[in-house]
Amino acid sequence: MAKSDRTRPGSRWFNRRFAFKLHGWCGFLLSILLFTICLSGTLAVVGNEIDWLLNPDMRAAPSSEPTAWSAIHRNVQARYPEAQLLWLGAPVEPGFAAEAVIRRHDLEQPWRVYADPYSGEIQGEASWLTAQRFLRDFHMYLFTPHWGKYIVTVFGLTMLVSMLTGIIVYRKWWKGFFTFERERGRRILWGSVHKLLGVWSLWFVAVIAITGTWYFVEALLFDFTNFAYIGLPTVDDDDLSEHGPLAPLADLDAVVARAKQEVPSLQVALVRLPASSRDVISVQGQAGAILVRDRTNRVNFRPFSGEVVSVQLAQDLSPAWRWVDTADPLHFGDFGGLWSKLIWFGFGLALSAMILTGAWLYLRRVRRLGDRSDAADPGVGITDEPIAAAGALPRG
Amino acid sequence: MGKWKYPQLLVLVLALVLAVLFCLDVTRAPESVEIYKGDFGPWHLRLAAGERVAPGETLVLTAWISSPGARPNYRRLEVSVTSSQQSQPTNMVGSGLARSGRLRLPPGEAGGTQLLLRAELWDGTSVTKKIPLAAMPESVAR
Repeated sequence: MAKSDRTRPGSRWFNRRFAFKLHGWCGFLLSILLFTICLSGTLAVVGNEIDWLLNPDMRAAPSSEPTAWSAIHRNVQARYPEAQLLWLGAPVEPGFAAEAVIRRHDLEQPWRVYADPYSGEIQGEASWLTAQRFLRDFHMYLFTPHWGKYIVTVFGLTMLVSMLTGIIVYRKWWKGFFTFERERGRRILWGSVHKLLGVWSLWFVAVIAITGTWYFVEALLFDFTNFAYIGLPTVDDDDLSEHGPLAPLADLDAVVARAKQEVPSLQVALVRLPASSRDVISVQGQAGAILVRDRTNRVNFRPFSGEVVSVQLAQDLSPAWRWVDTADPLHFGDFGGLWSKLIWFGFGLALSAMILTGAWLYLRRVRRLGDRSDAADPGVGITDEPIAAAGALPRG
Repeated sequence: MGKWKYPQLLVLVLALVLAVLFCLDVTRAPESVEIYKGDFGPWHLRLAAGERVAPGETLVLTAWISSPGARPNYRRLEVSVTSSQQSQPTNMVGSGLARSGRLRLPPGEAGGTQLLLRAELWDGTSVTKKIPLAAMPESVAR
């Protein structure tokens, strides 16, 4: 490469050089936090499976029988007569127990009760803060109320920048899917690993970066506009005055059966129970639409009479709301069960490894340039050194 | 290594400290004292006070109204002090089975003062309960 090419403003080399600096800055200066966020997100993808391994109470023999919603409801209510049931969840995967989440008068956080999904028998309980919850909350907001979500989600933007600058810097990257150099020293080896991981996980980085950036925008919308998720309806007062001071909830098995009549393709994942007398019972799950979260498809019922109040399906949503409900499955990778989670987990590890290898390469380069500039001219700053002089620009 | 290392380590340490603080926070026992537990009409009531107060100060109350196998079905819950002419009923608000409200206690001795809980049903009738303030533990009504 000619020296004049490197220094001429507006030239192609100038742009690649700038892109390389930006790539290094985004990837390295923020690497520790970025790595922490990526790794915690990667583990959070399989958070339920980690809990399943740690807690035998979360396990149940798989069966083709339907979930015994009423029995679970009844047994949890009998175990905790003073508690408020928030929701009942079907097994996350075959082999998992059903879960009831309750609120107790003596605890600030909700409480989990695990039940056999087919008999309804209670088989254990756990605090709200499971491994999955810890990993997910840490990944979502670093346990820092309000500002944490901004700290985390702004990395969606930096990841986008890293990805785009990586594409610019790595010339003819599409030829790099099967390029691996391991016999020209450690730097070349790890550079090769970094590039190989980069090209193979490019689609994954794009998905995570775009959805992460969306979460940043969503946080802004939540905090600074009247943006809110589509809420559940409430029932009118007249319906409630038909009941006395003690009103039993509608039978959940009947409610779920009715929901399946309304939406035959509905695979029920969650039955959300009313927080107050005016709230509905909401039966939620997947109903044929791809890449939507469970709560997108919902059939809502009056809490005591069990009459249908409303039905919402993914196909009825506007494109904007459809995207809101699609971001989560794309980001979490839980749309295809265990297999899609494992794919997300694997690529999450690759992304985390890419951050580490990128940081190591950058650190090595900075050290080497620092040594050279110290020897030549102690006044020359590290970032002023032409990067091409160190041979650090990746070759296509 | 250069100057960039330490801010990042600081951010990581800060995140870890916050995580620990969060864990400590969610595992700590709630700082409230149960001042009544028993029947409230057809329901079961637990009434707790969130902080220690003296006469003339504001009492933070949380009512937990439950009924095994059924949902307590009422429109509105109020609390007031029966012996105080100036006490206006305070609407207790919240979601789920818990309702919270703040109530200013009358000045003077706590003896003889009673809290009045009133739940208004959807048909216009109501359920009431008087709870003597003297029955409260010393830790609540100093």
